[in-house]
Amino acid sequence: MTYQVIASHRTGSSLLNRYCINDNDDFGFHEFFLSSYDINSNWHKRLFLFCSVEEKLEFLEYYKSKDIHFSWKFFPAQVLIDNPEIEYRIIKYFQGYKNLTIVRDPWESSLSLSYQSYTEWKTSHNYNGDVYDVDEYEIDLNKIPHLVKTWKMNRDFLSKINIHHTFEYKNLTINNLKKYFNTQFDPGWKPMGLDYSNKAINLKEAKEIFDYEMYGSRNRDYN
Amino acid sequence: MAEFSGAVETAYYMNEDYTLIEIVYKNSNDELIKYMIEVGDNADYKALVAEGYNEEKLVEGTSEYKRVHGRTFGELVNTQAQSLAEEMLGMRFLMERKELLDKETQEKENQLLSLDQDVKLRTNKVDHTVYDFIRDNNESKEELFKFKLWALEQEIVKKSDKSIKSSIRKANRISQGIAILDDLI
Repeated sequence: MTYQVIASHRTGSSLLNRYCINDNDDFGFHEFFLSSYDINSNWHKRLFLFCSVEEKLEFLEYYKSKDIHFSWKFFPAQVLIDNPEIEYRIIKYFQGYKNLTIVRDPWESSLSLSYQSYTEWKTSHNYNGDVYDVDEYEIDLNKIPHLVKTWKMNRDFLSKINIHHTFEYKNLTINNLKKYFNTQFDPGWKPMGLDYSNKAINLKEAKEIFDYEMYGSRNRDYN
Repeated sequence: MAEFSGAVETAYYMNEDYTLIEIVYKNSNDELIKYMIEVGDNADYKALVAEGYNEEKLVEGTSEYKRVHGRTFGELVNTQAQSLAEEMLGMRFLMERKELLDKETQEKENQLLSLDQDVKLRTNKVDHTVYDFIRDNNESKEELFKFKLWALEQEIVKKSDKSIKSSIRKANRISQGIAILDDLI
């Protein structure tokens, strides 16, 4: 049965998804609910005519009903935050698939996400060793509550899904993936290799807000 | 006494030589009768002169006759001319109509000829649009993906084993996928 990736941002999900797609004879998508698969996108405009989340879901459901399966990556909160009414359909859709997920310290994920947001996603992944690097960056503190909210939504959604396997982020290496999928496939991607903590100029304040939002700490100075 | 004596309505010369006179008179039945006589020493002419138709009156009668008959003739000519004109107009209309019909006929003939040529072209030359498309899009990712989705929905593929479906999903060209389908037929 086909592998699917259900995860949060900045957890290595793209690399894992790449192996899933490869395992499915390259029959799959990346973040299928991203706008790049919409009708107005330049990426797939000759292929897809999707105008809504609903239409994309119908597409997936239709081909699943025809026993035609795609591997793709799903960030639950990204879709469900604006379309909570389709959650039960998505849960039903993932039934019968080998659903994979990854655990990573959400604080580390949020730092990576903050860095990408600050650098406007110039290099979201290290495909060829060319990584956009800055000496320092500022974490957008206003975005932290939203980051935590989406992480919690993803966690809640995952709790409703039958997970086939959960990867530890630190173990999500090319070698391990080759072993897991029993393949010699190597996309050539490398870790970003950036020290997000040392580059952040407002790390302490961001961490405080993060912990408050994530764990409900009442030790904040400004509380 | 001549038969027209006392009943002459008019008289006039009939020819340019003024040697013939036509007398119009009413008979006992009140009918107008035309009676021709010769100018000269004869009883009829003398009887006509006796009725007051001397040379001067005959000239006046002749002038009146010509005027009246000239008008009648003119009217006749006009009528005939109008009739002829109408006929000619009708003819022109018919000619124009014919010309129009001829033109339409020619156009229809050309159209039919064109259709005939198209049919001949289609008959004599294979429509290879589909094959041109495959050749031009054989490795297009989008078209290849569409082909795969189509192929995987075919009953013959659905009934096949996993390796066949996998080979269709892996196909790098549409023609490669078609070859896989061909093996299943």
